[in-house]
Amino acid sequence: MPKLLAVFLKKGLSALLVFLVFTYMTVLICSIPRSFTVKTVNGQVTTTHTGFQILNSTNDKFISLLKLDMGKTGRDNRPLVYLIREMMKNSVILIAWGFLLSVATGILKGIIDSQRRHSKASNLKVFMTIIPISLPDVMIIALLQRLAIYMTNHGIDVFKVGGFGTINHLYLPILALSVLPSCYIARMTSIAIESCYSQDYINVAAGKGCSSYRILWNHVMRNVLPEVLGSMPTITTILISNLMMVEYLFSYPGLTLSLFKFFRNNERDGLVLSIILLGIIYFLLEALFKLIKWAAFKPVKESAV
Amino acid sequence: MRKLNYPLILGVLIVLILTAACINPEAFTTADPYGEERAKFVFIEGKINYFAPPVNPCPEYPWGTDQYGRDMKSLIFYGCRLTLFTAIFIAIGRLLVSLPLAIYAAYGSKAANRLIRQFGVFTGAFPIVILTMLFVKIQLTSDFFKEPNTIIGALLVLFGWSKMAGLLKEKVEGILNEDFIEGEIAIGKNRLEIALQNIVPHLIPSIVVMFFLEVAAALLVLSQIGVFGIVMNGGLMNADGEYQLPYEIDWASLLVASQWFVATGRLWLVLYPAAAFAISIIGFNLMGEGLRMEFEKRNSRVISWIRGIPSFLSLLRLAYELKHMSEYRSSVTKKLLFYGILLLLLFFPQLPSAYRFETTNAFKTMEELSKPEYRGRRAGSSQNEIISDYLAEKLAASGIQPFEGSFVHNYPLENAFNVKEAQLTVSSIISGQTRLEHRKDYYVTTPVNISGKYKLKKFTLEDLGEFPFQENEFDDCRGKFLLVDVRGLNGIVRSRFLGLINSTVKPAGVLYIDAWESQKLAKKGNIDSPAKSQAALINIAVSSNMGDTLLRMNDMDIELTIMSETYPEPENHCVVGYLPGSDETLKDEIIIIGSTFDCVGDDRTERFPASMEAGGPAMALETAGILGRSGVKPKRTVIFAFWDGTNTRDRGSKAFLEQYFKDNENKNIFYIELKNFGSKDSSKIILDTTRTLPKALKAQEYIKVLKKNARRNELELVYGKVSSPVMHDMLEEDINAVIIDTYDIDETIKTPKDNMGNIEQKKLKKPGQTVLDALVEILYGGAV
Repeated sequence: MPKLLAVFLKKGLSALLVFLVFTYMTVLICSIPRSFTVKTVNGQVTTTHTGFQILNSTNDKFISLLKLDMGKTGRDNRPLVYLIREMMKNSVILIAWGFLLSVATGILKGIIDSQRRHSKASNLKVFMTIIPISLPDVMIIALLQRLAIYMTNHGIDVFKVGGFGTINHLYLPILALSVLPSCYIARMTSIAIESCYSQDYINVAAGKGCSSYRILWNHVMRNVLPEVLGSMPTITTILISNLMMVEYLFSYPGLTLSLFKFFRNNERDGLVLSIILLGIIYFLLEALFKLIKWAAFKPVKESAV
Repeated sequence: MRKLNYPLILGVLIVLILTAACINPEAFTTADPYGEERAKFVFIEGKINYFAPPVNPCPEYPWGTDQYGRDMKSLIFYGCRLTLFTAIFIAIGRLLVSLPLAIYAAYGSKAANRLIRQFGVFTGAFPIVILTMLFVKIQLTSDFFKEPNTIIGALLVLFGWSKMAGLLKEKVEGILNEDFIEGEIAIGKNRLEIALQNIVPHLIPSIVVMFFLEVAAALLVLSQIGVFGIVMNGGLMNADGEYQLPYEIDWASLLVASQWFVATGRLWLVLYPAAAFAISIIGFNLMGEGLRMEFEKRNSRVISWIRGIPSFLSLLRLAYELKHMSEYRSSVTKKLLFYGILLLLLFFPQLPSAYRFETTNAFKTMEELSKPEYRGRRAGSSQNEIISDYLAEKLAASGIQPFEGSFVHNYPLENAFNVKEAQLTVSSIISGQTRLEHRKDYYVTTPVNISGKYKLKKFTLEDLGEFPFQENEFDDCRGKFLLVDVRGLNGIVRSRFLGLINSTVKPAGVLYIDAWESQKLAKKGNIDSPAKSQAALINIAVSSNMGDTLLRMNDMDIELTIMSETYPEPENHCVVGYLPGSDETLKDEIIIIGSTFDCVGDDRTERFPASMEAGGPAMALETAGILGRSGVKPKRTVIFAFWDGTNTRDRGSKAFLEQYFKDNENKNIFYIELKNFGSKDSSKIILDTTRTLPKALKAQEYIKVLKKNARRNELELVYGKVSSPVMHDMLEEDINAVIIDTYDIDETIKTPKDNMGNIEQKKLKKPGQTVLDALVEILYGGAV
């Protein structure tokens, strides 16, 4: 138990250090003035702002963040804590549902895809995998919105194409957010399943008379899921970059929409906090996936050994 | 039966089509991408309706137009080049960064391993689009990389290499575990030799696969960047709401206002650029995936074919094989054939031009028009009458026919004047004296002769009080000059404000501060505009920086002297000649070659020879001379027009078109304006095609002919919007038009520097030959 605690402590401290470096880098990047450049004055190369000025401003902001002083908005002097209470909450809801939907549909599609093995079906599988992941998010969103407008015009008023407030406003953003990640998960699952099926123990299981259903769930998926979980950091990255597009095009009041507003208004405090909060979501999700992988699969392997 | 690799086949097909679109977009579309559909008023059932771009997809525009009226189909095909170039640049850049790091990391470098891992974590948490967005706004980035697409490309390389580096590292580790590496170590190879001679050759198939997948990934990021408004080269809207053209078009910039397009139901504005992205991403992904499938085959020929490429291209290897010809006969034949075709493509001999453009004659005309005796060719002056006779004489001598019985067409000018000299000094007790320089710091917009000293009073919109304005409320302004700041006011408010000062406040004069900076050289724009009804007050436009200086002063006095000359009973003297079309079916198709010979006129102390501006008429005259003297009758009709009065409101072009082309029903008239040529400081020519409707197919064909001949004559073309008063008259009569001008001459044009000393004769050759060749092809050849 103390060994486990030490491992947790080491991992936790290491993650905290990475997060602090990330926070400092974010503050530094956001503190570089837009007019910053290098000029030659009377034959001497000089910068418009000294590195000392930028670092000073970065350090001040970083320290204030460590003291949990988030700052205020530039326009209406509103405390930026609302970003955590409202915007982050909205984004987390979207990410959580999008993630769940993409995992459910992705694994299912991966299983179906892995069943097609002969040549034509194999080519078809490549097409079925490549085409969805090649569609730009803007195209998926535009088509979904068009479909929603069409349905509304024909009396089916289920989807809302923009805004926030009711559960109907969430359907399309969640759907749009989950399309690409689910295709990636399907691809990972399918590859992992295929590699698993070529293992000897599957032949042994089949030889013993196990049903294909039993082989799939008891032998294959047990080995596939850790691999799928291993690819989750990539999925998180995709989810977060998709989140920007989804919130922007659906005018959904989340973190990334706020981020763009702060960027346009050149408000450093809001910008820094939005990026850090997005980073927190990323790091938490990554930690969560690692924990699940460790908790659900490692002990089984160890006990087996 | 051999299994067909359909993903590879489809991927190659898509990439080949994209390559063809990059090389020759003209083959895929009828219209030029810069032509703009115009806003228009249409009467429907007695009611006036206003139609403005964007135009929905329709038979004339199958993919619709964008919000500026440009044909979407053309934009997509012409945008292919820059978009793919940027994506390929990103993929190559990432590869160049990743490969050495990956090899170094695979050799066990902790620093390289940590860098790859931590950078991956950082860019995972900090999305690359946000990083790019933040850095793109920093001045240093644009100062360093200059072009927008290079900035975007460089930033995406800088922040997006870690994933590729991770994948490459795994591949290198795999290779390092192979048995043959141990053999290489045993024979004494060092790490660098192993990397270059063993690792890289074995990595080539993986690199090829990753390269295509990376191009697809880069395209996906570019589509996101476009949506968030980080344009690669999309042009900008200036303060007047006029769209500034980019040199090249890209897909990402077409997605800039996606949020607005989708919200307003203009789906095609998003769908076509997004579909273009989707198809190319699919193409590159399929190609990468197809190649991967191919490489996984046990006896893949593709893999050995790809590995053989460096050896096939190696000239050293070819030399060796030539030396041992008997052994390598087949290989040498293939290589020589390849290099032969390559050289033929590169140096394919071109047919000579039918006629040779003589720069000597054009240069002589420019010298003639720049002579001091013409005094800067001011409209309405007797000198312009002499010039018109000179031009008419030259045309007649070349066999060009007079238009409607006469070469010279005279039209009355209501007024013509020239501010020859002006002096302006502002003084205050505290700040002392500030002397403003005429045509550098200020322009006089009303021509009067005056000399006097006045009080200068600051005046704002608030000082006007409330409507209705009473004249007697402004008694304290009478006899004084007012200092007014009109920066930041929109056009309507600005003109009403100045109008009210002129009509109601009635001071002695107005100094209005406008949003332009003081010039280094005295610049004589057509700001000294002779109003139809000459304003009663003295109006003076002051530069923004000098205006700031004046606003800081208090209790000011102004000392002003203006010396103007006014021409008696002024007239425009346009010169027009033509060669009639000989083909019964084509003779009503008219090409007008237009140029302006009037200019701004000399001042008392400064000369404005306007030599570059003489380049247009000189080139047109030489072209007319060559065609006229050839004696060959053109199939289509060509008109050569030399306009006078272009720097006034009563333009000769306007009067001429009203007389002969009013309510023009002939839709087959095409106008080519030749503006300024011969500058020794610029080798690029700007082509403005924005005034040609994308749906005007014949005009679009003529533009293609122009571009083709520009390429043929190695003339470097850029695209942009050039202002020309004649264009207003052409658009008024619904005539499609293009302007050809020298690029980047803003600092010289209409300044004393625009003189013959700034002209280089050989700079006339390429544009002159291009126009001549294009005209010959349009008039005599098989175009259209």
